[in-house]
Amino acid sequence: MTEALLKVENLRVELKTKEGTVPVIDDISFELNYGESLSFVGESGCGKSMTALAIMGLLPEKISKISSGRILFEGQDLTRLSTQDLRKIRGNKISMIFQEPMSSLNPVYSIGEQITEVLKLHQNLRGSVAWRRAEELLDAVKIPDPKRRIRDYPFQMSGGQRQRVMIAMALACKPKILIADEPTTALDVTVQAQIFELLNDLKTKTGTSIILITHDMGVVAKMAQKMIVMYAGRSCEVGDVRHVIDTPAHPYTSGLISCVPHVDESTYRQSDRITEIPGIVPSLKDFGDEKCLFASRCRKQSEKCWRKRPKLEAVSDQQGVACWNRENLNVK
Amino acid sequence: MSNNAQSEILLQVKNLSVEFITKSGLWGRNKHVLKAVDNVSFSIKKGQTVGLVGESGSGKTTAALAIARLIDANQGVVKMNSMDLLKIHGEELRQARTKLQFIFQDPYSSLNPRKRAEEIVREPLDSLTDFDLKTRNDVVKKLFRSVGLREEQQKLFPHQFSGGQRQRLGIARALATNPELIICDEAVSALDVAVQAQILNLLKDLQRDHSLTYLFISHDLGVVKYMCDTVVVMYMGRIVEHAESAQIFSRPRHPYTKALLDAVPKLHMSNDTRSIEEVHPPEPTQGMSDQGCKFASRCPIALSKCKNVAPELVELNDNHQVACHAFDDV
Repeated sequence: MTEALLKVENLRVELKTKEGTVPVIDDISFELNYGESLSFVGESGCGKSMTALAIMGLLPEKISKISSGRILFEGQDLTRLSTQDLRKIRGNKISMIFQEPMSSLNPVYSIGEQITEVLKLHQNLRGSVAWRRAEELLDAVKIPDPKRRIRDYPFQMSGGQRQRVMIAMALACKPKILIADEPTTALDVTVQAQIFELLNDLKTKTGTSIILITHDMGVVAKMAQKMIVMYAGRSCEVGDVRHVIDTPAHPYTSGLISCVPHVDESTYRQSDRITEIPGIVPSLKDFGDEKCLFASRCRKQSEKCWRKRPKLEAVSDQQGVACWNRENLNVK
Repeated sequence: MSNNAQSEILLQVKNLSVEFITKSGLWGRNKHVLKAVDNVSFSIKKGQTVGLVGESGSGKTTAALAIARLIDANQGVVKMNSMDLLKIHGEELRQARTKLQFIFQDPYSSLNPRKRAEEIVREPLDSLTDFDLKTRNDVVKKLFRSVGLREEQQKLFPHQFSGGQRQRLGIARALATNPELIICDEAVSALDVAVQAQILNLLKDLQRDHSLTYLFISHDLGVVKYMCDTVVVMYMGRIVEHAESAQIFSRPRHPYTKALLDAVPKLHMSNDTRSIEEVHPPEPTQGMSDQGCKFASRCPIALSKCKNVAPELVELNDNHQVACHAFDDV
């Protein structure tokens, strides 16, 4: 077996709060292979974005740090690199697109200037060469009439187009990994579908691996091969997307799936209710406690859940779960 | 559920239009009329939920704001309890407002950060009713219980609540004057999925207990399917399809409705029959001519006449209305 493109081992990120230091990412491990797509799912405040920032080396300084674990990118431990070396990888071999395409573009520079900035920095392209490459990139993300639009400013573009520009910038250096943090949350469904189409397209063409952060199980089903369900900084279920969605073993995973009304569900009646997950994500001060942090919201909780933290265990070749009272899977 | 009270019509909207004037050029010399809501008609039966769906910019919120008299409509009739809401003024309007309340999208910006929770919930009572303070406070206490908040939370400020709890406050405030119709404008869009489910169930419970009627605006079709009895699909200010929820989701007749449904990522691959490649970039431009079907430029099955003749909303069967020349091909 060849070595994985990205291998995260027992990553732990600590955050300083008023109440003391808490682990916002607590013992996360995963592998990402070439050309593969992996999805992080969970509610807000569960550490999905923090994981992405840790990989990018963009954790907020002073208040947070990687306290243990390794992030191996092509065999190189990113946690040990100097800022300078990291800068060579960031935006070049690993790049990221964010949720809000308006606030992540600079309003006072034209999009051409913003794309060529990346090309100057990482690929040493200058002048008209860089400009032409930027046009090609805009064309690749299917912005109509790129020769004219390249001179536009962000406010002249629609939300979907701005996200396309972000993707063009992220792809400027043909990265090995593209991290997309809720890339379509602010967009309409039709635009969302086009952005996903584009990402899938680019993945097949360039072989870029994708890490997708989302809270929408439908998006996961459509876009990813592997998934990690995160809760309170820990991974509670991991595995192959089809297995996890069809036969979720963790009560949180099945809760996340059934608490959202889906259009492909059979018709709802007025008397129908969706199964809700009661309560909310625990506050930061409870993170890291030696118990199952989901217990207070769990319909299957038992006495043991409050006493001991469940470890991630394999239920099959394709699926692992951290739960004392996991769902009974009918293994086919 | 087919007793008489159910089939009574509570709100009737007829030919509602809202126009905005956009200015461009030097000192805004070039004026252009933008029809944000264009001749929209629909009605809501008592105790039912009507969903208003469409992409951003389709006029959903504008229509709702006009119905609630929060912006002015240019023409049309909005009848509630045989009173035209667009024609009344002063005390009459104040009384009417008690019967129609709004729940807003963003639970952060829609609550006054300097007021305590109980004051926020009491506010509609203060301004729209003539009860004495004790009665008003009793009502507030009851409201807190019915939306699942604790009594001791009454004294807290908005920032001390979570997103879901804030939306509960917004709901309590909307319920305060004992309204008949509540307009929910993307009421759950800003919430986390698990909390969203809690709020949706709460809205359903309240509907049952208080026999409420909802006008439910959302871009999330799954949520609309779960909440609504009837669905109105809007595109660039016009209604393109109007039918019972079951009809819309099982057999959409307008290509736009179909495109919207196809665009939603499905949980199970077998249900994924999408063909979004066919629907071209959504660039609704403002200066477009009023002639023809506004969806024609994006439509995969557009006929030659679609560009010139605007399709009328026609009744197919069972109250299924669609505005499309080529609906047979969908």
